[in-house]
Amino acid sequence: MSNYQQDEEQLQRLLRGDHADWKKAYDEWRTPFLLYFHQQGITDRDQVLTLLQDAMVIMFNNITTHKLQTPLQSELRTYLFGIGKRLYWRLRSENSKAWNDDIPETPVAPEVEDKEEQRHRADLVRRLLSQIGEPCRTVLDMFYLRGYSMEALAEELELPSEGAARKKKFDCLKKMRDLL
Amino acid sequence: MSDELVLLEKIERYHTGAMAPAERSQWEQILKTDETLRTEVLAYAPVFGAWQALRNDQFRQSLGAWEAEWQEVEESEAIENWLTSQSNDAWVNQKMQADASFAEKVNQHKQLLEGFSAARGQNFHSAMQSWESKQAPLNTTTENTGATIRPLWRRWAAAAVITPLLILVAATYWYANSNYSNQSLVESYYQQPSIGNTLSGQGATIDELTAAFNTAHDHLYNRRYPDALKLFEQVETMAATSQIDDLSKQYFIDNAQWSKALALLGNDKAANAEELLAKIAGNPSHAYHQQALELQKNLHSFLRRLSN
Repeated sequence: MSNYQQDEEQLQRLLRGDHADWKKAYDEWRTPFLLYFHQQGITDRDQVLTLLQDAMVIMFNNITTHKLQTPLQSELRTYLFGIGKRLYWRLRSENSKAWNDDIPETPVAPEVEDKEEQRHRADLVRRLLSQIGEPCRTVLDMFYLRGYSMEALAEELELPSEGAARKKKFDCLKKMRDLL
Repeated sequence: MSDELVLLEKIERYHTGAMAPAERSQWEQILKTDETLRTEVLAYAPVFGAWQALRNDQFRQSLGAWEAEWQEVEESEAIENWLTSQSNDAWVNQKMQADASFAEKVNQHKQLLEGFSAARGQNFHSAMQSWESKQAPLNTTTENTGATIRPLWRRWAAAAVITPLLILVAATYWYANSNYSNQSLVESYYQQPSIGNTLSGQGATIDELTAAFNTAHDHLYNRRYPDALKLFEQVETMAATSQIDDLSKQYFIDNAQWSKALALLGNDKAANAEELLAKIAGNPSHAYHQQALELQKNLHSFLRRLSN
């Protein structure tokens, strides 16, 4: 029996990447995050908000790419605070590690990717999508960005079966690869 | 094709972290020995990496929108605190001067708060009426049991209970004076009729009657009660002797009588007003029968007695 059963259930929901679930989480964690960093003496609110957003993106990435898995070693909220702490250290240099609190060291994936690098890669997909044409653009957008299942995708695009949707997606990915 | 599809799905699961640890380790062993497969896997790495980067980027945009919602919530709370004087944030003042749309937002918020305040007042009014209806008869036969000495803490405890009661009593007096004085009652029961020109074309007498009726109402509306009273008496007489249809005649007479009662009350002649009200209330076919009954009830209410 896990110590963090509720958080693990929430993790399963967040894993799907549905923004509605993530918004709920953001609304739940935002105020505690601001309070926590304020208590640590970081009084610049805008700085903490930037920290929160960066930490949320890393958490989103780590969850949707299965880097964070069950069984959890802490609450999800604590995990987020841990990422925020690491980001803050990175900003302030390692000297500021004298941090008097009860947030454990959080196993954040080592490649906390640079924001600019992320943007560059995102732009690449946007460019490829603009070249790939329809219906591939819609198929890939629905599957990768809007989280449609193959079944839902088939239904939405009026394809005869789930298998046909898989095939369509396969063709589109190949086409995309060839454009690289 | 089917093998290709299965292979691509496997490559995807590898790149998106969806492979279970055992399967992953086995897969990586194969990759070490199979160069063709390794090349294929590497070819897809930027595609899947870029997809995840795009997902992250879109997530960041959503975060921006959610945060913007929060900023609006916090701004609204700051405005509310400022309006209710719980804070004296200088930035609200500064922003109002610099930003017309913000000033408009503050103004709208103010109107809302005033609306809520008025609604609370009405609720309070209803609550008071319900207290009044439940009020038990006062016990006039109190027994003197002699003086007792109470410890100091009990006096403090009594004071703690009494202080809110005193505030409540003061608030009740204030409320009663604001809502149950002669003038307040007139204002709450008075409704200006909209006569317009509906009676025009029925002869000079009608025009005169309408003119007198409108002027009388103008007096009543502007709290010139003695003038209103005089003119409503004239209206009543003119209406009774006019040649207009019975329905209109009755309307003028009933309205003039009711208005006279209000004018008397506004002029602090409550006893005379009550006489007239009794007449109206006693006539079920009078157009203001129901209003007269209600006003009578209010004139004899507990809160009315407090206001006098």
